[in-house]
Amino acid sequence: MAKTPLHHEPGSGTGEGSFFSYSLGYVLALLLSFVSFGCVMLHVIPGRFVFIALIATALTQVYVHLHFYLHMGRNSTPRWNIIVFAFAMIVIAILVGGSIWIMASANHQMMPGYNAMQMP
Amino acid sequence: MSETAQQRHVHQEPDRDLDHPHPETVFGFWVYIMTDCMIFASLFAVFAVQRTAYAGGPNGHDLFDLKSTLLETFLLLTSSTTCGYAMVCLHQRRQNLMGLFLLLTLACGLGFVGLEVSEFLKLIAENAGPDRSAFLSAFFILVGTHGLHVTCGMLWMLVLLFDIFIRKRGLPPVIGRRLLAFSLFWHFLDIIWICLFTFVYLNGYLT
Repeated sequence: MAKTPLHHEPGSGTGEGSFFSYSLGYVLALLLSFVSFGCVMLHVIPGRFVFIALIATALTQVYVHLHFYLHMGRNSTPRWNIIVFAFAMIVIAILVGGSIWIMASANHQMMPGYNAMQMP
Repeated sequence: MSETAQQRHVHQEPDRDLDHPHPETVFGFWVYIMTDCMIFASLFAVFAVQRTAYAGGPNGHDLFDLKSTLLETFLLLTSSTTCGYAMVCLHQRRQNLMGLFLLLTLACGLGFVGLEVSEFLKLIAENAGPDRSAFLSAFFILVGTHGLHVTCGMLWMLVLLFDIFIRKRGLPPVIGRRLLAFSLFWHFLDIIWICLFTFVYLNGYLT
């Protein structure tokens, strides 16, 4: 008999988990990491698809971590934690996406000959 | 008067028990982690903008040793898992096994930081230090900030281990709260590392 039962109590924070769930997360994370490194090191898929594959595996692995290690879920995580997380993700998307967009656009405008081409 | 009474109430409100730390404390730490996430996001944005600013210097394909990065990834994933195991042991009140898993976590973290420091030293010896190009400056600050976080996490773990085993405080509720915060921090660093090896090392190696 277990000394202390593990119960999933709403609002109890993010401390739940078992040896099995952590091991499952570990195996999945390792597999996804190997897929990422394999894509780049073994040249199994054509070059222009590699970046897409990398993003897909990275996002999946982040999800695996949030689920199996940080135990984020609709029922197990307090609502405010989710709201703060969503807010942070929005800020990060604006910050990173905006920086890349603005700088790529600036580089494009500064290309030699760009202004000459625009002039009538 | 009522305000001071309320303050005292807040300060003295104990953690409910070892398994259920006061939710406001966990929330506060979660907010800290999200702000830390934004620091990393801005460093990632800097790296994304400067990723091709080689200034005639070496690029990622010349510099990165992916086998070493893969080993670092393995070490960090393993340490995250042993940290999770330690939390399970905490809930089962198996103090010694928990200590063992925390030591394993510490060992993997040490291996990770050791590999990273040796990589940095190798790059600097090859005249590819942070002063070589904007790409390398962004690389060093981004990966270095992550390494610094891991180092701070290991110091934090040493303090926890000291408290539990050397001072023999055992497992009062406050330790449950600290371990939970530590494990959140450690798993968060692992998530940052996933983005790091994907966008910095693997994507940099492709160019």
